[in-house]
Amino acid sequence: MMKFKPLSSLKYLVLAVGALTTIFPFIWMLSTSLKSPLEVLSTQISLVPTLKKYLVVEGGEDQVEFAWLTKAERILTEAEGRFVAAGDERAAAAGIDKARKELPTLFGKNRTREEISSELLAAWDATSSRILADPGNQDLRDALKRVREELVGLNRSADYSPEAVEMIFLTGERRGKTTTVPPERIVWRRLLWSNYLKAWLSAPFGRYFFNSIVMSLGVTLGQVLTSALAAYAFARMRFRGKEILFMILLGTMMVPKQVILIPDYAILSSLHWINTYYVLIVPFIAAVFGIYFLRQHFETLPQDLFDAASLDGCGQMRTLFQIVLPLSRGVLITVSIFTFIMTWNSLLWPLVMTNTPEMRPLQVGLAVFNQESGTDWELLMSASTFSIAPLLAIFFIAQKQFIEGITRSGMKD
Amino acid sequence: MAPNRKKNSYLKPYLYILPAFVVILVFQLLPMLYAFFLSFFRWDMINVSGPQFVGLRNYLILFQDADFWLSVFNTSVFALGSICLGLSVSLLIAILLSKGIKFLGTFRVAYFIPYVASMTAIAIVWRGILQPRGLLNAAIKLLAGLLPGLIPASLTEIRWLQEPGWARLAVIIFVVWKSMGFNILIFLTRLLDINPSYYEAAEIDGANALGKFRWITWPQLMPTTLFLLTISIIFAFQMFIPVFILTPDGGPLKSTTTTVFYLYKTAFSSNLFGYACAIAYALFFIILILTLLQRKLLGTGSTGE
Repeated sequence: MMKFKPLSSLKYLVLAVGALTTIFPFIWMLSTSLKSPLEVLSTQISLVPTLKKYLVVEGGEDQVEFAWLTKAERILTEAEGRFVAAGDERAAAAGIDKARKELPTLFGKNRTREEISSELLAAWDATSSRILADPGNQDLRDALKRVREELVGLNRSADYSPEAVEMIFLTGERRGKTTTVPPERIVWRRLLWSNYLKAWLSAPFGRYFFNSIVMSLGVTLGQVLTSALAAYAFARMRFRGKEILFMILLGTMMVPKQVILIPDYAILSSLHWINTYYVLIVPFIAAVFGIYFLRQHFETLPQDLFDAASLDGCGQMRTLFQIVLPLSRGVLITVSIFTFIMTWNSLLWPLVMTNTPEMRPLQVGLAVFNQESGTDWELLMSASTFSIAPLLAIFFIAQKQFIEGITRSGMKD
Repeated sequence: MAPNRKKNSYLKPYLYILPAFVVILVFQLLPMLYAFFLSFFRWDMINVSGPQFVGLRNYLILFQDADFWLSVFNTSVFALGSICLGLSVSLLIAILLSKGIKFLGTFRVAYFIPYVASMTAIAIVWRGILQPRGLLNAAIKLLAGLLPGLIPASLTEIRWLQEPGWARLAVIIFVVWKSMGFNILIFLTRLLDINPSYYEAAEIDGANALGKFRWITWPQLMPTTLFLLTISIIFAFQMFIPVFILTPDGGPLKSTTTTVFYLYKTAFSSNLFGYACAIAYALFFIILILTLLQRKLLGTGSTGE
């Protein structure tokens, strides 16, 4: 037993790494959906969004930066160039990196500019002291001293009142402008939940959701009803042409659904159904899959049941609705979930058959949003998140039916 | 009363199947024939004179249409890549999961989640991941840092969706990731159904792990593998959403334009509806041939063992 242990832990390692890789895109989606537009575009990839300053402005929040922090950063960037010119790239890189990393951490709530500024200088002095002590490179020491003077000058020169802080807008329409605002209007955020609202409002997502729900519910109800009726006839009744009719139905499953896209488009155009709920629902209120699946289940029900019902004078319709269907709850739920999800996820059909935002279901809305807001990743990820969430919720609630349904329909096919 | 009732019960079954049958007839069966009929016409749906009969011309043009054959090639690459990679990875994970593992439920859910997420939304997420500065390149860079010398620097800045070869690989990776949960679930269910006494007997005969896989697991899984193969081929040849979201313009040099995507563009961008019907029937024909071929080749293979 002992010698199998390493193999067993390797097994768990492979599975864990695989599972983590599998769910990582979801973690990434959540993380990105809560980032600021600037952080999304930054080359530094972080899983947890960083703490940033925002100014509460009309109509939401705008990411801002202390104006003179930006200036300080510019000084440091220029200093880097000077250090490189002075011939000490490594010292330059290390010193500047450290100072730059400390810059943002110096800014907390309720701190005056003097406090921040003196801390910045202290941090700068600490990182440069070692280089200053080294008598080797005169140019480098001069450069360091000049940077320090500039940092001190920065503190003195810019006009400043203790009641207000000069801010620079980083995002939004006011991007790049500076303004002076009272400190209490500055909020600190790590997770930018407002992205969700922004994404929700940047396209008629409410309407998209409504359309998807109407479409999916309509199709599911219709399909379950027509399938139950037909499946009952195929499973429990004798009639002429039964086998042939069933074979014809099965045959349609062989044909890819893209084949009927264009003729259906022509038919539905001439019915003037394009861009209505009819086009999204009616063509799908019957499907071979449902009939096939339910028939298989109805055939497994014991014959005694039907004999008893018949003896009690129970008609076919009553037998179906009061005996068969209640006994088939699990299967009905499985078929419903599948039909609902398949309809909810469909893209090509509604993409072709609708042409205004008012009639688009969610997936089409998302596809259009994908093309229109090409690189607003925080918004795209927010929209993806709230689009995926309902189905994931259904999955977690009805996990058993879900997994059973897939294995059963899969194995029997 | 009595004859009336008898007549009624004779008709009854047909009334039960009528609603479903009418809908399927009107929106599926007849359109299939109509599509075949339309494929012999030139039709833009705008011209008032209606469809013009052109005989076999659409099919003749199709034969020489480089874009169509490129789309068939792209689709075949996606099918081959996603099936080989997808089924082997899924089988490996399913086998690991079937060995009486702890946290089976948790693992199963983790692997299954991509399958539940709607394709359109999650493809958008992947478009983000596949950006030049996206997560995938960052992950490769991280790996390159951990294993210095193994990963050349050129592989840390791949333009996934901008270069034909990489774009095709990106689509395959996405599709494999998306459908893995389904494949694992189907494999796993079958694996757990295999009678343990087979393995016990093999152990008594002195079979090692590889032998047990070769002589028990693999043949026992054959029907499942066949089923997944069929489903995967059909799915791959009907692929539209992944490429429509990842590369809305059809990919660099049309390298990710699948046949369905080409059909969609031919009909709804170029307004060549008759020609699009010919493409649809060509696609149907290809899928039919592949399914039959696959059944014939692998079907006899499995019974021959």
